[in-house]
Amino acid sequence: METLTNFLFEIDSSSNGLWLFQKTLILLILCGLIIYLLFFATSKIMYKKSDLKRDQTLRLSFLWSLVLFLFIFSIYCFFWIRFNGVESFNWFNWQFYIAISPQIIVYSCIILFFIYTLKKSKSRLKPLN
Amino acid sequence: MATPMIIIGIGTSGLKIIEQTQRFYYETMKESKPKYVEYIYLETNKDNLPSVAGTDNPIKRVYISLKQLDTMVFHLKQNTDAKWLPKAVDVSNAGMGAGGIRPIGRLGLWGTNNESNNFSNVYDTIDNAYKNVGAFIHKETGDNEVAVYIVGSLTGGTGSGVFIDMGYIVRDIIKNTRNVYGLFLLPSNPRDITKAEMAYANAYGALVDLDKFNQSTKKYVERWPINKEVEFNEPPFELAYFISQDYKDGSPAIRTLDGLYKMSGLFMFLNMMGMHAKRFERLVDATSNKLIDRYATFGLSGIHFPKEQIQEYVASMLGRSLFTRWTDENNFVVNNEVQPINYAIISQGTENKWDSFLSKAFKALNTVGGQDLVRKIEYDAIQINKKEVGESDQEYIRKMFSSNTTDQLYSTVQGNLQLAVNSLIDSLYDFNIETLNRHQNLPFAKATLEGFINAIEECLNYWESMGIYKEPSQWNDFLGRQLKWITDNRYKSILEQDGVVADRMLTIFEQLKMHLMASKLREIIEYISKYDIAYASTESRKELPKLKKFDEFIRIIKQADGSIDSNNNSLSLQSRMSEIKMDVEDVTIPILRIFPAGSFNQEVENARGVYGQKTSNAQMQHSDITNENLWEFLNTNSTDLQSKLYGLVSLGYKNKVDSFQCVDDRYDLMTYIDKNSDEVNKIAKRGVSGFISVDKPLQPSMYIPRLIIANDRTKISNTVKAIQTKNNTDFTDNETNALVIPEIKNLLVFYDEKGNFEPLKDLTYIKQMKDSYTKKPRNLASNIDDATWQEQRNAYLSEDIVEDK
Repeated sequence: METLTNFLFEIDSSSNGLWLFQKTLILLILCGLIIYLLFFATSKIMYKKSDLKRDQTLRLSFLWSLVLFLFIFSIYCFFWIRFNGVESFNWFNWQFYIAISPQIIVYSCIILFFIYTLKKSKSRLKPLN
Repeated sequence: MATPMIIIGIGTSGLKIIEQTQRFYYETMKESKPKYVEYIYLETNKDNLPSVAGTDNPIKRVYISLKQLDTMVFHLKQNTDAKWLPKAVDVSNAGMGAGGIRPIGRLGLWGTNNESNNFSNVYDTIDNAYKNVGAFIHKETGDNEVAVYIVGSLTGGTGSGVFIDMGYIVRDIIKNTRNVYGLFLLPSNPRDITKAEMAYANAYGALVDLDKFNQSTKKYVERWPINKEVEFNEPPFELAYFISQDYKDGSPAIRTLDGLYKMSGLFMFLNMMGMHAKRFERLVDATSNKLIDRYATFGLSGIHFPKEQIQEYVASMLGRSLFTRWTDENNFVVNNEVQPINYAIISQGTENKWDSFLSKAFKALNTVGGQDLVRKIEYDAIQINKKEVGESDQEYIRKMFSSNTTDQLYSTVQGNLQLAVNSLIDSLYDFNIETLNRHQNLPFAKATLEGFINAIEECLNYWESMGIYKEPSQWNDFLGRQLKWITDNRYKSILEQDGVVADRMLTIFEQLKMHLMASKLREIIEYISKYDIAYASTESRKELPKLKKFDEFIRIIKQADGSIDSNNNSLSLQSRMSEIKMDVEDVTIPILRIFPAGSFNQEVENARGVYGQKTSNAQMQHSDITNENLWEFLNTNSTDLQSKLYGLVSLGYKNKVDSFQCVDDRYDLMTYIDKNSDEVNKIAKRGVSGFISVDKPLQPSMYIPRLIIANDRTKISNTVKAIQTKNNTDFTDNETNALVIPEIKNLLVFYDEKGNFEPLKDLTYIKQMKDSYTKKPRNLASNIDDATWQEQRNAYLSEDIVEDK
């Protein structure tokens, strides 16, 4: 449990590149798993009485699952900052950014993916197919 | 006691007289005719139909077909001894009617062609009419004899051609009758005879012919075209009445022929109501005393509170308001308020409605023969995902929807398309009915229908923009493009593959419906906007509304209203209003109109005001005249719609005006008579001036009928007193000169019969008539000489068929 807490919340300025890469990968996989679960749940719950086509409702459900994930990730970030204390954040030290790069990469990926999906869905939501 | 009676109108004038008679009776009794009276008219013009007061038409029409005149002549030459037949050149030159040629008019009665056996038709119609009134009267009163009046004008070819035959036909049907009368209109004393020579010449010829038959020393032997030998010792008419627009006393002539028809109608109406029986008692004595011979005329005048005319005028005003509501292109009525029509909003509304109609129609295609195609597709989707279809997914789906495979969805839906078409027709029909019922405005409903056409066009354009066309080959190409989409990315990871594939296949199913319906929608547009033939639902038989129908209905309603001219003879409310106004304001007609409110216009205004109060100033609506919905009403009455509209609207509002008591009829004529003895005296004097211009003084006699007619005896006595105060002794207060008809509340009539004159000697303008008969008009074609002109004016030849007794 302590290992998981350390893995998720600790900022280790002395960690090497391999560890950071592994941490980023694990975080992305974890995020993917959560997004999948959210998508699975929303696809079964949302738009049940909608007149929209199934393709369209599934795309909308996926967008909602991304929104929900962003919300969950923001909660995680809140606890992550609180765990470390905002005073420990050394904004003018480049090593600090290296240390929090897994969180930055995951967050950026999610935002970019959201934008990409939204754009794609918008174009596909118009016609019947 | 009222006498059973048959009134036979010959030609257009005869019809007009019967119409006026029927109008007087309807105004008085609210019925078309009494059971003991039959109206018949003979007409050579197929399009000339009666315009009657009331809903049912009591006037029996006998159409005398004038087609194949040469065939008629040929048959008559073979089967009868007729020598009066028209010349071949006249037959070949004859137009649609008798053309003013008397022998052709008579030929029409005698002839047979592919359309009818005219003589037989006329004979049978009169015979049936006699059976009707005869049977009725014998049950009621025993031996009362049926009276027959033959009415018409002698100026044209038809009336002057057949009038003598008609008298004898009646005499043959009603053996030994003493009750056959003629009422014939003569042309008035002419200022200038030019261009009217034919009318005067025909009338003269008719008078000459009648004079031959009226000789007491002659008998008439004939073989009729119904293969019957007949022999008569009597003249055709017991008494022939002649009237014209002139007055015996030289007063200004009745201004219009309609005025003369009106007086003739009043004469016939009074006879129907009891005047005939009263006159008959006296005429028997008069004839035996030689005070009246074969020819007579009469004077007729009256005092009238024209309640019916006021009611009809107001009813016509209300009817016009209804017609305006139906045809107004700028405004419509919502909640009793007039609002401008916004065509853009109508168009938007129809787009939304069209979507729901189409959706309903597409749903009708989901089930075929009890099989739910949607459930079948959903089942197939599961089979596809389970890989249990036995071939590739795309190939299986292609076969399901392709036009190249039989017994699959394509052919199933195609065979079922009529269901969707029926649904669309029903929806459009019902919406049209609902729109018309709600707003009662045809341009509004038409705009709605045009909105639907636009919506269908947009719908088809949208389908084409998606690549859906009506040709099967294009559909197969489209399907090929969709197959990859159906089978790709089925969302298996979240276990949605069955729902997704089923949904995509259902989308293709909807697109298949669009492809198949495209041509049907195009048809619907064509039928609504272009074609004349009906397009009906095969189930409900409801018909697709058409733009042309709207245009036609609007045009006919406007014609019935009078706001646009009509190319037929049907009446319009506007023209009827003008007629009523002209009639009540015509001082040349010897009927004094009295108005308690001061004037006709004031009476109309008052009545309109009362109507508004009684209806809370509600807008006119079609339920005022019919319980049917407006569209059904217009469609079911589309044959002769103008006449029916005119009749129903006029009658419907007249009944309402009457039931609301909009015209105050508590005014008693007696009040007027007591206060205006000068005016009453003047009108009484006009009553003793016959409707004819003769040189001979027509002396009154106690044996010749001279009557005051009113609804109670006191009124008659008071009227006599009133005119006697002005030293007028024309009428006396005794039972012989009084006739009480309780039903005629608003009318008092002075009647004076006159006889013992010879039209051929005593008419003041007989010389001009004779000249027009003997010499052809100067402007006539040069190939017609005087002899030919005279032959065309002679329909009865004395030297062949009238022999000494």
